[in-house]
Amino acid sequence: MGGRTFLNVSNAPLSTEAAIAFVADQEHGAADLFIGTVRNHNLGKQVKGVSYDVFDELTLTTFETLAQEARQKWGEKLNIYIEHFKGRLDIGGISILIAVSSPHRDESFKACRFIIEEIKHRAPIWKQEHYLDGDSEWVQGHALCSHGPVSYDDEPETRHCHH
Amino acid sequence: MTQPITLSIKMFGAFRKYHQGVLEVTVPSGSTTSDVKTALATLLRQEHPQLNDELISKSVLADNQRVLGTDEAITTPLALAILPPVCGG
Repeated sequence: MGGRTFLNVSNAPLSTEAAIAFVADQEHGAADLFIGTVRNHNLGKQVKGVSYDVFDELTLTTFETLAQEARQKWGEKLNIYIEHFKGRLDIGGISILIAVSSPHRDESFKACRFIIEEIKHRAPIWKQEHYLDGDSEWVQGHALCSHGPVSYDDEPETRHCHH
Repeated sequence: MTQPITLSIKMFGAFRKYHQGVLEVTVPSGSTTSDVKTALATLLRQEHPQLNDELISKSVLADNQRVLGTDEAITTPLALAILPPVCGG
């Protein structure tokens, strides 16, 4: 039987307890949790907060595709939890949670890493930083592409997309 | 004569600086996504002549399910979104 999946875009604070509880499984010996948080600096500027803009429908489609890809690579039994925050966060706020569980630890580590790296390049999500001097700026990102996913092994590769 | 079609394009990310919400863009039926982006840029520049070429060229059009190809022809009125380079996670 295949693993469980939870995919969400949330306006409410994300819960690490909920992520861990969702993937917990008596048949699994391992779980990996990635927590993305807002830090207080970027490119030499002091940040006081971040706002996340999300294209909900396509983001959820992207999360679903990534869960399928993770299972194709590391097994159908993975339980997968992916949740991204939408709205404004203070320093230390949780922007994203990814939890993966599996019978053995190798698959959890790898699938969790794969999912966060792919989200950074493929999910339609944008970040606007708010600085101490009162300015705000949309962060530079990775251009999306209509072509399929680039192959991924243990380490993320440089991706190129030509428009 | 090619009929015009009107696309509703939702703004995301840095495009929100130039317009909030949805912008209607009218193009000839059969226009490619590149043509649509050009039309969108022209429209936005009416109010914001400083709109960056690089932002437009690095952005893509998408519907709720997928990113559209660069040379994909659009022949019906659609609800689309303009997506700048992403940085989630």
